Amino acid sequence: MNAITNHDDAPVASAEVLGNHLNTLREQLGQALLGKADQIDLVIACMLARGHLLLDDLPGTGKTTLAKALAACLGGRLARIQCTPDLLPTDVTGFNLFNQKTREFEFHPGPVFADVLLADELNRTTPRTQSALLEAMAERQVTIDAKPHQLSESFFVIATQNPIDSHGAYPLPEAQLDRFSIKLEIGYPDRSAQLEILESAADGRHDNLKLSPVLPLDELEKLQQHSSRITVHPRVREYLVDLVEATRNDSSIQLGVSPRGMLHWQRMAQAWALVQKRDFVTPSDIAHVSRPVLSVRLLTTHGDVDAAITRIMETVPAPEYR
Amino acid sequence: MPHVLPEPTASDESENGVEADSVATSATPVSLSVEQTTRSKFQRRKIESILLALIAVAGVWWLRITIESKIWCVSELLTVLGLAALLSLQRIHARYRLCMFIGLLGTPLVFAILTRNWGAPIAFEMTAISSLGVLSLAMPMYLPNHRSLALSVVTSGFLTLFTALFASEYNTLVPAIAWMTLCLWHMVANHWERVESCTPQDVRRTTNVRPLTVIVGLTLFVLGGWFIHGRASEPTRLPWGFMPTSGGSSWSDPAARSGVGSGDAAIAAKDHAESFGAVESDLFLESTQSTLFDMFSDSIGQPKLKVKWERRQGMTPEKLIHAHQRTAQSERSGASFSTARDKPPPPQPLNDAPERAAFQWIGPTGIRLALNRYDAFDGVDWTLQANWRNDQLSRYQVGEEAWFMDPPQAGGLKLHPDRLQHGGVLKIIRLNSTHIPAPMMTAAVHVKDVDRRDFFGIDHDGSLYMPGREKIPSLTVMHLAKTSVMQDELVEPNSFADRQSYLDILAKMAPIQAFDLAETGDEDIDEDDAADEAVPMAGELKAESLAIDLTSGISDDYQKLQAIVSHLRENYVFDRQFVSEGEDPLNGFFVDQSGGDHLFATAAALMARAVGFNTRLVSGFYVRPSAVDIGMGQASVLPEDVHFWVEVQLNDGRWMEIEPTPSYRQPIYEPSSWLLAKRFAIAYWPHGCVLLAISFFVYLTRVAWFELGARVAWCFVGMFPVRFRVRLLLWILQCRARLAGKPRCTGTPQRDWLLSLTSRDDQLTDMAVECCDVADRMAFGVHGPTTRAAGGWSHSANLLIRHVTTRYISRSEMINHPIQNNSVLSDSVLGDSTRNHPVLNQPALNQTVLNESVLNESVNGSRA
Repeated sequence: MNAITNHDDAPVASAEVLGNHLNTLREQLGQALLGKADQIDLVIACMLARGHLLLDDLPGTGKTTLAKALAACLGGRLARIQCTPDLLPTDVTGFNLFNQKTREFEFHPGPVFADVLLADELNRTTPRTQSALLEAMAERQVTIDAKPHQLSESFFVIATQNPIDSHGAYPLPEAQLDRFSIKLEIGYPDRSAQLEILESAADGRHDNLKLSPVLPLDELEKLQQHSSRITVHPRVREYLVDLVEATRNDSSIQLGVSPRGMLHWQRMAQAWALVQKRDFVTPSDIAHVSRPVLSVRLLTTHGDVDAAITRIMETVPAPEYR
Repeated sequence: MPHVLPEPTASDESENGVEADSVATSATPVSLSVEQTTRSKFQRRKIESILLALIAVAGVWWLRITIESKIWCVSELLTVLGLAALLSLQRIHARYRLCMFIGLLGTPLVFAILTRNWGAPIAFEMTAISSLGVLSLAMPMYLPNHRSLALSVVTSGFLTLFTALFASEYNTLVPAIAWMTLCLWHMVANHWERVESCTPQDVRRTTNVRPLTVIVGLTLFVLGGWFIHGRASEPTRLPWGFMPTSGGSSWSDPAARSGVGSGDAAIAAKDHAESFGAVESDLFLESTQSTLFDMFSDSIGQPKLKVKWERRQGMTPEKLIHAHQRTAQSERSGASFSTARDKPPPPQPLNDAPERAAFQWIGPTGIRLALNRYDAFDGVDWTLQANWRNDQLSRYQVGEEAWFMDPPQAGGLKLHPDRLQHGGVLKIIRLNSTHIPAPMMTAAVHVKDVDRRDFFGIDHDGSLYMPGREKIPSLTVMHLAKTSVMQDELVEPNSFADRQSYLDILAKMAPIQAFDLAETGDEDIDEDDAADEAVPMAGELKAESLAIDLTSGISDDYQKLQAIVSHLRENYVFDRQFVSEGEDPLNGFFVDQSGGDHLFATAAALMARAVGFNTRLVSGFYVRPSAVDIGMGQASVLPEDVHFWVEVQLNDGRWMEIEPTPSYRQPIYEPSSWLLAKRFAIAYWPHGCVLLAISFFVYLTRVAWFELGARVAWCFVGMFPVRFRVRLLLWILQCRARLAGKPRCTGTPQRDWLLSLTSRDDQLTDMAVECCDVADRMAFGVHGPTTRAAGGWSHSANLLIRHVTTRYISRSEMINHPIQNNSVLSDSVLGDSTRNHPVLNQPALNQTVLNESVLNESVNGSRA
C-alpha cells in the first residue's frame, strides 16, 4: 500500500482518489462550458494554486457560466456580487449593525465570507469598492472596525471583466491586478463546439444540467497541498528566474513581474503539472502558463502585451534535456 | 617494555595497516552499526591517505618546476591530477578504472620519453620520484584496502622527506610541514579509533616481537658496515677555491656552475661547450697555453717572452678570481727558501682525461661545418684561385655582445645581426687551424667578452678565421650567426650564379700575395691551371658528358642540381678505403662507381660546372646525428668526422651546399608554405576538382547523408543509457529541423517543440508524448522513469527517428513558439492528446505514473 507519509507527515489523500476528483471536476465543467478544455484546465490549475482568477473577455463567451459551474462543483458557499457603480465596500466585506434589542453590535458578514466569490463585471464598480477586495484576496481576511475576520481557507475569487465598452468603467488598479494569479480569455468556441451548444440548447440538455458538488472543500484543500509540493527542478527554477528578469529588463515593459508574481507563476506551473498528472514541473509547464500569468501583471510602455510576452518567451532559452 | 598487540585473527587480517602493531579491534561478530562505523572510519583513512599523497606530489612538483621546463612540468601535473580525478570516480566501469590506473602510473614515464624527444629532457631521478608520488596517489584510489593505504602513507612520507632534503629553497618546506601536520593527525586518529574499538580481554601484553626486530635490524646494520668497511674508496676533497665543478649547466642542477678549475676540473669544464671557465680564468696568466686574454698587453704592450705569445685582450680587474690570484701569488715567489718543510705531497691521482673531440657543437646536427674551400681543379688537385681575404670585419653591438660580420654579406644583403639566425655554438678543443668550422652561410661570429676587430677575418677562400695565430686557442667558445636560404629562392629562374661571370670576377680580383703562395709552396699554380685547361683529363670529360646527359630536358636549375646529386647518391658506392688504379682518380671513380667522399664531391662539382653552375669543393666536418649527447644537448665532432662536399654559388653571392655522398644527410632548404601550396596544387589539382565536386554533391545531398548517418548511429545506441539516447534523439531531430530550415527557437521547450512538430499525426504525437514524458522525468523529475516506461520509450523513439525525417519536418507547419498559438497548441496537442491519450488514460499506467510521484503519498483514511 502506498501509504507513505509526506515531507511534514501531513496526511494527504490517495493518488487515485485525487485523480478521480480531478477527472470528474473536469468532466462537469466541460459539460457546462463546451469546447474549452484547456481553459477549464487552467481554471482548475488556478484553483489548485490557491490563486484568484480574472476572466477577461467579450460578453456572452461564458465567463459567468464557468464561474457558476465551478462554484457549484466545489460544493462550497457561492456568493456573487454584481459590480455596479453604486456598490459600496461594506456591500462586499460586511458591516456591524447595532442591535437595539441586545444593545450590541452584530456583525453581518458580506459576500467575501463565501468559499467562492464571483465578482461579475468587476471593472464597473468604483476603485474604492475594488480595493475592498484587496485585503481579502491577498491575506484571506478582512478587517472591519479594526477587527480582523478570517475568511474561508479555500476562498477563491473569480472576477470577470469586459474589455470593450469602456464608458463608465474603472480599470483595475495595478496593485489589485497583481493579486490575481491569472487572466484568462475564454474566446469563441470552435465550430464543432458551437454546433454542440446549439444542439444542447435545443433539446434542453443545457438548461437541465445539474451540477453536483464533486470536489468537497476538504478534498480541494488536500489537492492544494499536493500542488504546493510538486517538485521544481533547480534548472527549471533558474529558467523561471531568467524569464522574470527578462520581463524586468525588457525596454518595452514598464512594470515587470514582481516577486509575488514570480511565486504565483511557480505555483501555477506546479498546479498545471498536477493537472497533467505529473509530480514535477517541466519547462513546458512554465511556458504554458506564462501567458495567463504574465498578461495580468505586465504593463507595457507602448505596444502590445502579447507581443512582449511572445518576445520574452522566444528569447529566453528553455532548459534542454540532459 | 610492554606492548599492546593485536590478536591476529582472520577477520582482522585485512585491517592491519601501518599501526597494526598498536591496538586491534575485537574479533566479536560485527553488527550492522559496527560495520557502518568501520566503513566510515575506513573512508576517513582513505581520504587522509589521498590527501597526504597529494601533498607529497605537490612537493615533488614544487621541486621540479624550479628546474624543468614549466610547460611540460605543468602539463604532466595536470595529466596526473586529471587521471587521478577520473580514477576517483567510483561509477566508472572497472575496466576503464584499470586503464586509468595504469595510465596514471605510466604518466611520468611517458612524459620522460616525450620530453627527451621533443622538449627539455627530465632527469631520470625526477622521473623516478614522480613515479613514486603517482604510485602513492593511485594506490588508495584503485586498491583501497588497509595495506595499500599504509603503503601509500609510507611512500608519500619518503617522498616528502626526500624533496625537503633535496630542495635548496626554504619554501619547499611548506609541503613537508603540511604533510607532517596531516600525518600526525592521521596517526593520532588511527590510534584512538583502535583504542575505542578494543576490549580489555583482546589486549595481550607481550615483549617478544619488537625487541627481536630491533636486535635483528641492529645486527644486520653492523654486519653491513663491517662488510663494506675499507672496500669503498674515500671521496677526494679539493681545497677551497679549487672546488671542481660538475661542468654541467643549469639544466641538470641550478647549483652547477659553468666550469672553472684545474686538473680534473678543467676536464669538467670541457664537458659542456658553454662552460667557458678556463679561458677567462686568470689561471692562464702564467700559463704558456694559447689564450685570448691577458692583463697587460693592451696597456703596456706585449711581453717579450721566449715562448710565442699571441695577441690577447685586456681583462678588467673585477673579472679576476681572487682565490686563484692568492694561490698564484703564493706559488710565484722564488725570493726566499725555507728549510722547514712538510713531507712532499702524495702523487696526484687525478690525471687529465684525454678529450677526443676536435671541437664541440651545439646546434643542428646532420649538417656540415666548413673549414677550407677550393675553387680550381687541375684534374687531380684542388687549389684556390679566388682571394676573398678581408681582415676588416664590421662590428655590430647586439645587446652586450660584440658581433663581427662579413661586410659583403652585411652590406650586399642589408643584413643585421638581429635578423640573422642563431647558427650554433662552437667550442674548440684541439683543432689545429685558424679557420673557424662554420655551417654554410655563416655571416657573423661572437666570442664572449672579446671585443677586438682584429681577432677575426675572412681568409682567401672565404672562410671565417682568426688571423695572426697558429691555431684557435683551445676552449674558445664561439657563437655563430647565419643567414638562410628558402627553397623558393632556389627554384626561381636565374637564381644561380654563372661560372663564366665568376671567372671574370676572379680575373679582376687581387691575386693571392706571393708570400702566401710561398708558404703553401704552390708557386707554379697558374701554369698548371693553364696547362690543365688546355687538355682536360678523361675524368673531367666524363663528368661533363654525364652531366649534360642527366640534365637534358630539365629547364629548372635547381632540378638540374638535384638530378646530378641524386644520380651520384643512388648509383655510386661510398667507400673511403677504395683506391682506384691509374693517375686519374676521377676517371677511376666513374669507372668503378665507387670512391671516397672527396671523389663524390669532385665529381659533383665538375658535373655542376659542366651545366653552368659555379661550384667549389669544401672540406670540413660532418656533425653526425649519432654524436649527440642528449643529456648535454651537444655533439662532439671527432677528427674522423672530416668530410668533403660541394658549394654552389647563388646570384647574390652566397654559397649553398649540395651533398653528393650517400649516407650523409642532404642539406635542408625549407620551402615556404606558399611554395608547398603551389606544389600541392600542381600535383593534386585533379584530385582537388574531384574533391570539390564530391563536396558539392555531398552538400546537395546532405539531407540524405545525415539521415543515413543518423539511422546507422541510432542502430548502435541501444547499449547506451536512456539519458544519452534521449539527448541523441533530440539532437538528431533538431539537426533535421535545421536542415529543413525550421530550427527550434531556443525559447521553445523541447517538449512543446516536438509535440508541435508531430501535431499532424496522432500516432506520432502519442509517441512524442511518451518520449517526452520519459525525458522530462529524467531531466526534471525527482525519480527517474520506471523500467517499464523506459522500455516503452525505445519503441517510441525508434518510430520518431523513422518518421520525423527532414522531409516530414519541412512539410509540417510548426508552431515555433511555446505559447504563440495557445488554442491550437493546447487543444490539439496538450488538451485532447494528453487527455485522450491511449496510454496515459489507461488506469494501470495512470496508477503507475501517480504511484511514482509525491502525489501518491497518502493515508489510508482518505480512501475511506
